[in-house]
Parts: sequence; C-alpha cells; structure tokens
Amino acid sequence: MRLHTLALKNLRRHRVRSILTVAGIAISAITLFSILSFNSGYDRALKEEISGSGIHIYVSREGCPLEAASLIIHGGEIPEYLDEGLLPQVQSISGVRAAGGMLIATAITGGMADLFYGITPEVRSLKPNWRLKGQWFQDGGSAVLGAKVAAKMKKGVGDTVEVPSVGRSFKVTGVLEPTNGEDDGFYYLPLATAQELFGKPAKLTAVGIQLDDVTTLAQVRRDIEKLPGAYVVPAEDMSNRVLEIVGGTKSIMFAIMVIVLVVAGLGVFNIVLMATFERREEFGYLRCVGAGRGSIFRMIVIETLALSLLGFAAGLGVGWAASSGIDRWIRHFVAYVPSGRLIRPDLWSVLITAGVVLALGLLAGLYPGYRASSVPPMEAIRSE
Amino acid sequence: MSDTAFELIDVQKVYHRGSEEVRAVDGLSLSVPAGEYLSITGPSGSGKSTLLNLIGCVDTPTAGLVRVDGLEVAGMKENELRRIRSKRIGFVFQQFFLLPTLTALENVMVPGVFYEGPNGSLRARAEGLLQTVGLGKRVAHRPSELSGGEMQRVAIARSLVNRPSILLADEPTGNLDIRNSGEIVELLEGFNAEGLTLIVVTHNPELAARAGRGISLADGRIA
Repeated sequence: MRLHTLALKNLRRHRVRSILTVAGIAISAITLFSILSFNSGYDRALKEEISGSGIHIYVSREGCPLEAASLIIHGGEIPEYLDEGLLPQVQSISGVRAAGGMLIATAITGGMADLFYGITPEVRSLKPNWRLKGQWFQDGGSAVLGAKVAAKMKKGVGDTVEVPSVGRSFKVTGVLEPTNGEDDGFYYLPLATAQELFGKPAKLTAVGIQLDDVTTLAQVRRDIEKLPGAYVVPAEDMSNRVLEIVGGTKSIMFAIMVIVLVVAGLGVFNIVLMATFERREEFGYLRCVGAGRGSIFRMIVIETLALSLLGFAAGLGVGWAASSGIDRWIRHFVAYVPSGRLIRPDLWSVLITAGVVLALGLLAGLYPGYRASSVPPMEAIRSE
Repeated sequence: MSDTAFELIDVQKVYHRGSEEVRAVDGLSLSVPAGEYLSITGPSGSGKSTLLNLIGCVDTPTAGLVRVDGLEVAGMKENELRRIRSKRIGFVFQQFFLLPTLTALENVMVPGVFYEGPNGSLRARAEGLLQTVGLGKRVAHRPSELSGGEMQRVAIARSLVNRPSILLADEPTGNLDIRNSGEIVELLEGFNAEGLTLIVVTHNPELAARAGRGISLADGRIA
C-alpha cells in the first residue's frame, strides 16, 4: 500500500461530498473548455465563411456595410437594390477576376419561409465550396436545391419540385452537397427567373467580386466607388469589424469564466479545509506512527488533485459531448454568427483546461495541506 | 536492542499557558527494562499524557534526559523522532483511529506506508497479525462492519506491524465492554509475554493491578 492509495481511498469517505466537489470542478471545466473552444472556433468559423465564399468584395446599395454584408452572406433580403447594369461595369474594372450578380428573396407560406437565390453564372466560380450533383440550370424553369431543401422536399436530380410559396414548379437539375452553412437552405434559380418571380426586373441584391490579386483591393475599391449607387464592403473589413464587435462578447465570457473558476476554487478550498479540520485526530495518529509533515501534505494535495482530475475528466467529457448543444445555445448571445461550428474543441483547449483545473486544485489544496501537516502527533494522545 | 526499554532522568516538561507556567512533568525519573509490563495511573492533570508523549517520542523534554531503546531523544529534530516512533514504538488508543474507507488488512498496513527502510512483506505480516488477534476471517471487512472489540484488535495488530519493541496503550479498554476488555487485555499481555515492553495508561484500577509494576502520577511526579 502506498500514500496515494490512502489518499484516493479517502475520497470514498464522504461520497456525496466528493461527488458534489467533482461536480463543481466539472462545471468550471465545462465553462473553461467551452469558452476556449468558442474563442478559437468562432474566429475559424468566421474566416472559413468569408474565405469559403471566395468573395473579396461585396457591392450593395447604400446602408450599414456590416448589416448588408451579413445579410448577403446569410441570404437576407435587403430592401434596396442595385441596377443590373452595374454588373458589366464592375466586371470590366481592371483587377476583377470574376463578379457575379445575386438577387436574394424570401417567400412565406403557411408560416414557413422559402429562401431563393437568383444567380448569374459567375456566382458559381465565387463559391469554391459548392459541390454539385447533377447540372446547373438548363432553362428558366429549372432549379438547383440546397442540401437541406432537397432533404426537406424529398427531391433529387430529375424530379420536379412544386413550391407553393411562389405557386411554381421547377425541374431539379442539380442538388448541392451539404456545405453545413446557410447555402444548404436555398432554392437556386437563374437570375432572370428570380427577377421575374419576385417582380424585380433588372435588379440585384448584391454583386460579389473576386480579385486577381488581393493586394489590389484598395485600387479596385476606389474604382468601384466611382460607380453611382455602389457601396463597397471588403470581406476582410467585414471580418475584422465582426471580430471587434464579438470581442466584447468574448471579454464578458472570459470574465464569467474567471468568476466561475474563482468560485469553484474557493468551493474546493472550503470543502478540503473543512475535511482537514474534521480529521485532526486522524492526522495526529498518522504522525504518531511515523508520517512526516511532508507525507500528510502530499496526501491532502493528492486528494485535491484527484478531485480536480475527476472534475476535469467529467467536465471535458460532458463539454465535448454537449458541444453541439452549447453551440446552438451560444448563438443566441453572439452579435454575428457565422454558419460553421462555433464550438471547436481542440488539443489546446483540452491542455489549457487540464492545466488550469489541476493548478486550481493544487492551489486549493496547498493551505489545507499545510494545516493538516501542522497537526502535532500529540493530537491523538488525549488521556487528560 | 537495549536491555532498558526507556529511561527518564530528572525530566521536566514545562508549558506556558499565557503568563502562567505549567509543570506538566516535574523532575520525574523512571527506568523500564525491556519486556516489562508497566501501568501508569493518576487523576486528570497529573501528567499522564505528557509522560506518554515523552516516552512515545512525540514530544521532547524541557529539561532532563529521555532514552528510548538506548537512544537519547532530548534535542532530536522531529524527523529523527518520527523515525524512532515508526520503528520502535507501537501505539494503541482508546478511539482506535481506524481509517473508515480501508479494510481491516489495509488499516493494519498503514504504519508500514510511513516506514523508512527495508520492511519485508508488509501484507504478509499484516495478515499474520490479524490471524494472531483472531481476525483472520475479517481481513476484508471495513471498520463499520466490525464490533468495538474487533476494531481494537485491528488497532493492536496495526500497532505491531512495524515490529516495535515498545507498545504504548492509552486507555486501550476505555471504549469496550467488560468481556471485550478482558479479551483485549489478555491479548496485550500475550504479546508482553513474548518480550514486548507494554506500557498501559489507564484510569481503571483493575487493569492497572494486572501490570508487573504500576506507577501513579500526581502533579507531574510519581506519587
């Protein structure tokens, strides 16, 4: 039998107390792990969304650039439109590799919204993450379905899909493979069909632009802004603005995390300290039979580290398993939410959580360990 | 091993309680040969616990000499005292001090955890001691599954696991009924008959009377 056996077996002495202590540590581990996973996951999701679109610049009608860009990325409908004649002018600007026009519209029926994306052929080259089963549009009566729409309508390539919200049927020529983003929820139509369907002839919601060389962005931007009614939103600016805004939310999350950790640490400290007070005579006995102060100190620290390790393991397991649920929940509190996963557990999140939780356990055990090791052996001998 | 288990020469232990000086042991001399069975009695406040602390090397004297197994312990540092306690002295207490989450066997093995140096097969020795105290079939039971008498038997087995030469028993029957008290005393006397020095501190005059020699303390001195 070794010292750590004594320490670990002692955790069974007050099972409920041990379980509650572990639960407290686990909650702090879940909080820490989730916030760390969110911190890196959010940035990556946002960058993936921006770079995944393959678009360096958005052009829209005047308005809040952030709101406009956000709506465009997520398929929101903006009540201001560009003239379609702007598109060839943009395409002719030096440095523009590709520019595609898009009209985004929503039709509601029975409380459900159908989302439509009218696109010019160039838009396909702006979306490198699109993988198509089947073919793009054959004529004005054909449509491509996003993965979720295809699943919801139970339609595949070659089927005819009836869309009650617009009172039309379309031949499905292709289905996009899942992108795990907003693109999965659209009906894709030829631009002219969408313009006709929604009564917006020769109008666009936005123009997406891909550059030959991103270092020419400033020059291209100046050239576009000379065009009447064009409002330019560089994707990079949008990404940085979003990160700035979300930075406030992250700060609040980190503040909450620190509070949770301090409360959990004090909880463990209090429980372990109370337990050492209850065991004074036992420590006195152990000192009588040869236990040194160091042994008693190590025993208490092993106990708190074991509780912390169990709490960390439980917190990590629950945090990892619940990351999808936490992902959905956290979306309610964030100003701008990219479509990819926000909570992305990685090795660093695991290592940092382990380090902080175990350090917390160690700190919480230091003073109780010191107090326990200070119990004199005569504590056990009390004939008088 | 020395012929003298322990020896105290003109020992004083003085405590300070605020500005008051308390002479818990006051000029006490005592020599106990190896293998003796000694009882220590006296009213509360007479100095029994302090004397036990000094003999058990859990405390050092303010003045005078204390030799345990031939070793002068006055002035020793705590680490040296700890080694003497671990290797040469066994303790049996009124409250048993069994660890509730350990089995009887594991409890007996506890002092071995803190023993420095070669100690042979701790488990085998613990099992043998439990057999000797009549608990060979109760090795896997936890203290909550044992009676008071059985718990004290485990405590006695535990006190002997590091093969000490002196056994200090502090009110060993204080928490037991008459039948169990008798059995425990016989057990202790059996170990004494095999050569173990047995020191029993008690308020019980019948138990004290069974010792080969008895001393009574009053005001920190042998009365």
